[in-house]
Amino acid sequence: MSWAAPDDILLSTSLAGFLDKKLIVLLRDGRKLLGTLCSFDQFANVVLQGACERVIVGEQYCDVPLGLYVIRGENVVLIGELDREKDELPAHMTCVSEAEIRKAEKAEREARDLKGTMRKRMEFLDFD
Amino acid sequence: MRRQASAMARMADRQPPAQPRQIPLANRNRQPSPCPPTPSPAGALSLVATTGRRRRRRPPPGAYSSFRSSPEKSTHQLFFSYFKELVGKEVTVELKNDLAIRGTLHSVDQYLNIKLENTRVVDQDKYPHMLSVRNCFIRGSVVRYVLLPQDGVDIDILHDATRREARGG
Repeated sequence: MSWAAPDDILLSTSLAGFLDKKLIVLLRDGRKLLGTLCSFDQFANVVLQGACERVIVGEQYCDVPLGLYVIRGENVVLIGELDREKDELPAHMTCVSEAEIRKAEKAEREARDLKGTMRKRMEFLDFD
Repeated sequence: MRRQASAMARMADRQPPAQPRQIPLANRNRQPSPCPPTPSPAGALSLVATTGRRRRRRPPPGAYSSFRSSPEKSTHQLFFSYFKELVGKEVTVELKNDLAIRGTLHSVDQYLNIKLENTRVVDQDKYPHMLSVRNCFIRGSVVRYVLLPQDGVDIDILHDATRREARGG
């Protein structure tokens, strides 16, 4: 094996370029974690420092602090670099407390489950 | 393929990005070859010692050379090679969670992980948290589609490479 040719370095998909940057990590379960990248490996396992979960429900959001997080790579969907100069969220969104956002989240989940079961009932009737 | 993984591991261990070439452990005590060393990016490591004749060199990155003359046994490199040719083109990646992101293909690796630059989310209102994201890394396992530009695809090359892989593999 000879040394890494220039095209290997340039073409590299390594997360080294994201080290010490503020990132948003999307997970398979739909969670959005923000934090600073401390470490990573070839499986996209990731260590985030100062992690917080950004919960968004409709026009409301809340950042729930989590601390130091190790994320197993198989759950990672996307790792995005947050541009410091741009707004992270649209201006019309309001920041609320954790208790409130959890309530809103629960309500949204229940509404979605209800819709799901209604649809299942309709599908049983085989309309389409 | 192993080279990519160990290159990534090396980058994980060492200091950040702009490292000039690291000398693999096996090469460190070799004498310099008679022919002039190829210039390294930062010009720094002139200890760049190798005897080119003994090692099997990768074919230089020319148009489709990685397609035509892949020296490795079939290790499923076809799409990896294909995406490497598409670096710099504008693509839209649709993920399994229905998120679609348009951006310039920056790099791809053996797992078909994708790095996009200058990204815009297709349905921005639905994904407010992605507003300020301009560069992203997408894990290969979550990609559903990679939508390519109409003119960016040379179908014949792809056909040939596929036939070859089917025959040889």
